[in-house]
Amino acid sequence: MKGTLLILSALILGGFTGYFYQDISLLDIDSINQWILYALLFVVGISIGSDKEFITKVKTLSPLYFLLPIITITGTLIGAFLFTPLTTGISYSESLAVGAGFGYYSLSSVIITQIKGAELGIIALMANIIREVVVLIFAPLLVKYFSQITPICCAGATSMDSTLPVITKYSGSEFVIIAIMHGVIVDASVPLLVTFFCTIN
Amino acid sequence: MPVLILILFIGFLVGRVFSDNSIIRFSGKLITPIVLILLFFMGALTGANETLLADFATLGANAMIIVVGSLIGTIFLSVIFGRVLKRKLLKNQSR
Repeated sequence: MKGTLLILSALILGGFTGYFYQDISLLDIDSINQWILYALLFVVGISIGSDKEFITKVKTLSPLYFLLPIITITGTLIGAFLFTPLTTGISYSESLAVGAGFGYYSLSSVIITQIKGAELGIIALMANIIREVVVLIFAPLLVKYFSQITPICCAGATSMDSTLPVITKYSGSEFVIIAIMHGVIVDASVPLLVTFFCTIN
Repeated sequence: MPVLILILFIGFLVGRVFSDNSIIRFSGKLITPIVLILLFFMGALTGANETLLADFATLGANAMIIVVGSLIGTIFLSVIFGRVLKRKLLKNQSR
């Protein structure tokens, strides 16, 4: 929650700064941001690589649960792909890039902004915030009408942090480890898949 | 832009090799501040861009369509997988 507030304030603060000081767009922000993005991806890589428990945790789980992130990733990408014709002016690869944020709105939207521009970046930000909020609000209904694992899959990368409390509450505490593992793996796929879909045409 | 994926991979390798190094472990804490800086600039560019502000409703509609599609796909596959999982786990228990 604290993280979400920080992120929203940085964005809103930036928005007001840009609105009142329009000269800011004359600065070469894009090339500055590109270097910051390089630093970001390097640090993200380090944090995944240095997490020793990442590999050991993954090894101890039943191989069946290992499929859960694949279900999430495949379902999301198929859905985003099929709904692309309903959008206005979004290409298939762009729609897939937005979908591949899996709720990790901060990282996915900054990567997309850098490669594809601010317009798609804002779409990614909104889409992935909505994804998180949907799980926070509708988790009980997702369990009731679909399956205990549905909130985990819908939560995407957020199943290990911001949506973990509602998953624990409505899917059951036995799903905590699975939700965390799922989140870690989907989370790690975000920079990879978003970058990939941004660069294909 | 394979450069980005390459950088990510190099970071991963550095993280794996030097996982005991305290500086390396600390670097994970840099993710949030860096993301905040990028988001600030992202907001600034949006705020300064009048066409983008004018298109806000269209952008929102596109975001909504993509997220609804993503969630329907995810729900559909998770229901199927949930059933398979239940059957397999029950079978294992009865053994």
